[in-house]
Amino acid sequence: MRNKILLVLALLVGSFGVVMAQNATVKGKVTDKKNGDGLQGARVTLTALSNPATKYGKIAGKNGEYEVKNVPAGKYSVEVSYVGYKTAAQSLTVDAGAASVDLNFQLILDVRGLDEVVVTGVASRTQKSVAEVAVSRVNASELTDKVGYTSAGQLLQGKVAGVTITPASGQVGGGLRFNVRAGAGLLGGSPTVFIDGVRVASGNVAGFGTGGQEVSALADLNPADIQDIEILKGPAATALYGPQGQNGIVLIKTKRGRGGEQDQITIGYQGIFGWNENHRNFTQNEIESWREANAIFRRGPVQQHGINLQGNSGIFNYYVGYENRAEQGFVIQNSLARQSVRLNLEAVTSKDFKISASANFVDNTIDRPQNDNNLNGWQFNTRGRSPFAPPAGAAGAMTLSTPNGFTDPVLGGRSVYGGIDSAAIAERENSFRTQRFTGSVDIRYAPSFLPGFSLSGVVGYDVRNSNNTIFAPANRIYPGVTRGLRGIFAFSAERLNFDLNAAYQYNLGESIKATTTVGGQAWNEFSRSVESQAQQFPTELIRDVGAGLATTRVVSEGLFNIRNAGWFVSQNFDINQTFFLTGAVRQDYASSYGVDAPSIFYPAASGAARLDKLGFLPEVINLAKVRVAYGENGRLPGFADGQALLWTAGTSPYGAGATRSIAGNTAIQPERTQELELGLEMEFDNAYGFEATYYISNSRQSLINLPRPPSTGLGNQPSNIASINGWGFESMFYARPIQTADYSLDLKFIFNYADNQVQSLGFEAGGPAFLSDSFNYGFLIPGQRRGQFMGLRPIQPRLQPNGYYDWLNQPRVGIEIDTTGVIRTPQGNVVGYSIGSSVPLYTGSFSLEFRFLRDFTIYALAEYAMGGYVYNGTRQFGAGVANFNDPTFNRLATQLGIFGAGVHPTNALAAQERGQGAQGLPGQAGALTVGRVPGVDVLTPGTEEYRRAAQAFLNLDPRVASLRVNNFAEPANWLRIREISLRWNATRLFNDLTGGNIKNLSFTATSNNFMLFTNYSGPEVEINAINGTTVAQQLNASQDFFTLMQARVYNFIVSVGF
Amino acid sequence: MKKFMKKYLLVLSVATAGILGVNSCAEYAQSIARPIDLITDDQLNNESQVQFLSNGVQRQFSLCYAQATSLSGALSDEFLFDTRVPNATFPTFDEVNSGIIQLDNNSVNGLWALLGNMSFTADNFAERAEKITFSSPAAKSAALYTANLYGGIVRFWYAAYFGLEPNRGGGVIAGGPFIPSADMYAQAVQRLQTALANASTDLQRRTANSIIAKVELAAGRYPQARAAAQNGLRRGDAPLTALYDLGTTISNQWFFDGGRNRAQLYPDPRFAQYIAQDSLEGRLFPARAQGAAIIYTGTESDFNTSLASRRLLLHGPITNMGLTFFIQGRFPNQDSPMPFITWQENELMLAETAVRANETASALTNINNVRTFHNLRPLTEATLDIVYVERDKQLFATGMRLIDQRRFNRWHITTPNTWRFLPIGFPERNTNKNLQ
Repeated sequence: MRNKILLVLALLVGSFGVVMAQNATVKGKVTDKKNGDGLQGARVTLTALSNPATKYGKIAGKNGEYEVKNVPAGKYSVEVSYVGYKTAAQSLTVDAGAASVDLNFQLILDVRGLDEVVVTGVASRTQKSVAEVAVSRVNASELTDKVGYTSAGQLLQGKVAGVTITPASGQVGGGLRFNVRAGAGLLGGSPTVFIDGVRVASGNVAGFGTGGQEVSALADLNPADIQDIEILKGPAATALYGPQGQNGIVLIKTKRGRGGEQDQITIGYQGIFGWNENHRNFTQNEIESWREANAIFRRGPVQQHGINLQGNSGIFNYYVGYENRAEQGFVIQNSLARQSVRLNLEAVTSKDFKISASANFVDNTIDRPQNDNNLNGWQFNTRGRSPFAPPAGAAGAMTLSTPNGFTDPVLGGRSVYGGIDSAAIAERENSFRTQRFTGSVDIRYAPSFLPGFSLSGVVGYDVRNSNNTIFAPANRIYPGVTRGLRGIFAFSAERLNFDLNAAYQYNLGESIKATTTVGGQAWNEFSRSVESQAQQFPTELIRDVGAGLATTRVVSEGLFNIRNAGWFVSQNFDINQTFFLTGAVRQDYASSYGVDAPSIFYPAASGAARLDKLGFLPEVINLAKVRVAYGENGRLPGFADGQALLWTAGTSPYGAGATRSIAGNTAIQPERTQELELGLEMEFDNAYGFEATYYISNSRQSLINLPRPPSTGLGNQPSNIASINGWGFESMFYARPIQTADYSLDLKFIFNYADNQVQSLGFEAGGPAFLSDSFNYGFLIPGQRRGQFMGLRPIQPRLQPNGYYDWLNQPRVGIEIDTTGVIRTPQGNVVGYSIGSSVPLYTGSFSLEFRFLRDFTIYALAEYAMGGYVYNGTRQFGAGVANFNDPTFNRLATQLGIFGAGVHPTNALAAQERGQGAQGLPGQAGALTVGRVPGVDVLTPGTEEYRRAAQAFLNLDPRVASLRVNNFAEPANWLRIREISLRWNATRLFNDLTGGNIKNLSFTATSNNFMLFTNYSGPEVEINAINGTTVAQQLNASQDFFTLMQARVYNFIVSVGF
Repeated sequence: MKKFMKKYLLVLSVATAGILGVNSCAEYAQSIARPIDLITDDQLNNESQVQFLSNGVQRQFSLCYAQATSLSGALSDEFLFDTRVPNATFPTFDEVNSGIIQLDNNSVNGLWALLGNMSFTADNFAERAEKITFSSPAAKSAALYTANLYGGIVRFWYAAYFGLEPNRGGGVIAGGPFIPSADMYAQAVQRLQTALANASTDLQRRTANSIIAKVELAAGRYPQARAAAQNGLRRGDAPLTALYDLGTTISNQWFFDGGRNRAQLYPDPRFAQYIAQDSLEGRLFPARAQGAAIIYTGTESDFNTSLASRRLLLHGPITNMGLTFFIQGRFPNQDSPMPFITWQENELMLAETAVRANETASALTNINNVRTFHNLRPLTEATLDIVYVERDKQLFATGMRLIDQRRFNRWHITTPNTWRFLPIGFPERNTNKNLQ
């Protein structure tokens, strides 16, 4: 009996235990609120309120259905997130004994990504909807499905308010110039780029010059690996990044493994097939050598194969990507061959630790053609000269060769190639190979015994070895080369950055959450280079640099090492998720050779208010946020700027000799840029919205290499005496007016206005009245914009008593210029009129994405710029120096009778001035052969028609420097259809037809730079001769001198995912 | 308690790490690899660095000389600019050639900057030589000779080639006030006299004297020029030469500005006429335009033989687009050395000053000493006109023609108000308070 009782008790206890242990199943469906479609892939997370560390998760399956089993009784917060939708949350109580609980979610589209977590500072992340600063995110992984990109930089073109990116040229792998807002500091500059926490080299690498075409370090990154790109734009947002953030921060995040079902692997393949071509041909009304200029173009094939694996092994989320890209430019000798391997891992080793690692190896070879301002270049030789050379067979005629893949123009044997055979250009080589490893380890520690506290640390490493080789065969004739040339430039660089932050989040009463963050960053850059060149080779068959004549060898070596370090403290308050306030300070130190490291404090403060949460706005406004942010940072002096005088060794036949290197400034200090930004962000009906930011900035004690009088022999002096103000407005409007299961329409419009004014170059403190570079027409002058074009204006042609236009003397002697309102320096030197800005004042873009019939998507992005000028140096050269290559110039010269037997007008002038007789003047024997345009009549001097022709001719006069800007700086407004594509998502059809279950199958036809509309007369309006921050480079921003036009690219993309 | 301790330790660790981190920021930033190509100024205050310093001054001399002679040649009637010469494209040379020169002419401003570097390097060496403790007086003298010789030469160039106004020659030293040509010549002579006082060999003394004569002649102080020339270089003496080579940054700019590589400038046709009139004056080596390229032909060894003996060498004639021209061959290569002062120039200075002193017989001897060296027919009379022409031929492309044209008042440009000196440009005017 006793045993029976025990058994019953045991059963009772057991059954009670069973009852007590019975957990519930939480299930339901996640759907789109508007169209009711199930959202497969939505992530459902249950967090136990009793212990936030206890979580249960599931990914929604087909039709958005999910089921989370074995959920113990208790109270939970359930959150559902899905890419492109706003995160939804509900409370849930699982009663003891409940077998299942139903919980459905209807998600609202997040058109603008307001719920996405974005980076807002060096150690802060928050939802975009509560960010206190302007931050932009570009979803790269979506873009790479729609458009084929070569470089990461292209991904950002036209996508971000306040940022414009100008490619160096149409050359594959070419450099880029970033203009961020109005540009901070006297010379502006490019933003600093981080990839997965690695502060990478992102500027251009010069190597051996090809005439202005540098290689972009961003061309080393496979765009298909990128998940998203975030951009912080000015000191107000980037103060805590220190001096590296003065012109913005670009944060590139690559793809991670998907934390879905364990051991579920996603395999993706993307193939791109297409070609590059010149976006337009030259016409005979444009240049006389239009046939030759067009003959160098070709269709350069593009082929890329990429495969990636993403998955979750239980411990690791992983992403593995491999890419092989082969691309040829539309000018021969230009190609890119890139192989890239990436491995990203994320490990959650315990509930307190999260470790992620990112590693990328790239092998990238870019072959560059001779281009731009280059006697050996295609552009110079095909656009710089007219075909009025001696005909074939005549004395001095030149026979053109026909290299492989290149068809020379047929002009009766005439040549435009100046001092070089086209075959010689075709055989000149410049190959730039880079092998680069970029990797980071990111550790985050949030101890459960100290809720709210977290530590994070990142170590980033970017190392590359570049090898640039050049070759000119000995059996060809090249200007500047004697019997062949070989050069080797080996460059290795490594960057190591450390980032360590500690944050503690705590409550101050019931409604205020506070976060205190302290942290520091350190950065080390080290590079070495070795260069060797030789000429005079015995044969073109050997290209070993050692085979060149020993006495022609040039060998040099370089070493460069700098470090920065800084720390910061930041305090943030979140009041009821409605008001947000942050205050911070940062101190930075920079390497300084031989003297104490300069340091500087930078403060920052920001705040935001969610007005829509205060209850007084209509419900249709789902977001209304105002924000204000103030921040400071600036450039640090160069590492040797604090030294009074440094010497180096200058090589010479006397032996290396002491040569003055840097004559610095022992009082040099870091510069300080201050920026205040005010922003308003609104969204209506979860579908329409805008964000707008107004900013003002100023740089005081701005660093400038102050020119000393050249007679001192001391070069420039680093100084803190310049100042510049910047201001602007950036805005983005977006709308999704259509959203159904089968149709959706997204529209986006970006409008930016950015301006600046140089305040001082420190003239009173010994600085210059203005700064310019002799080859450029952009100026730095107080009261004017940075890089403003300045020049003089001729009034009217001066006619001689006999009615002839006094063309021969007027431009040189006693030229009549408009003198009213001319800008003068304090010394009275005439600088000229302000002709226009070398940087467009208004920029922006329109984009449209229309999905129809559920699976088809049309996408287009048009970018525009207004209010800028481009100096057409190519036309000036063609008209003035290069022998009749401007048809308008030639027609006017003929009308004015300024032509002659083999006499260029300029030379007729020169001859007369030198007392050698006025050759080729009308009526002289032997006139009218070279230079006269057939079918154009010589006008009668003294007539109104003649006067008008003279006026027009004067306005094309290329010879007097002070007039050139007036005559050749052209307004350059433009609109370019940057990206256009048609995509068919065939996944549904394929699965329906085959019963398969592939994840993705799509086909896309796309084009980059599809069409250009501009009032600029040259072939390319987006001009970026050189990307750099020296005075000369900055002032050279919009000067077109034989710049290669950008490529129009057609691509066909196939994407498959299993 | 254990949990509390863990918290405490963690906070303490973070705080300690933070304090250490802040304090070590400056130290970290300063811990960089030493540059391999830079030295501080005080490291040069040692006798062991004197050769390095001396090389540096001579390097600056070579850099300046070819540039100065090509630009002064372009401003004079010695060289011409014409865009029908293949690859003659620089408008800056066109401006100089016409005498209508903008103040932003970067070719001119480039030379001005080079002279600034040279004067700084030479004067810095001179000052440093006074501070360095030398092991022997001779070593110090050697340093002072070099520093002052080139310090004098650069002042000569300032005085002879540059000006503040079209007809107002002179230069600037170390950002100071404008120094008119006469005063600048005087400064040059003063430096050269110091060099002379420190000369250690007879050749150095004769070289210094010839350069003093050259400066005095340019200044129009003919008796002083004559006195110095009489102690100057003699036949057989090596010239003071600017050296160039193929493998360093020091190239003879004539190769790029008016030579085989590229010809922005071509010599006036009279030089070909000199050869046509007397084949012993020089030689013409064939060349032709091929399209827009110039192809140089002829035997290199033959050319080099002529180079050693003839005073005029030209390539051509070449015809392109109706223009017939020649290319100078006097300095044909990237590494062609350029004599700055020769015994032949000293003879011609003696000849000129003799004519001006009415000692024509002596002058004729001096002229014929030079001509017979070149196997030329001796002349029978000596006049200033003859000296003028002999200097034109003998000193071809060495930068003296511009000075001679002004001295002899034979300016070739008829347009009024054109520059007879290279202008001191915007870079100096905008930064030198003494010029504002």
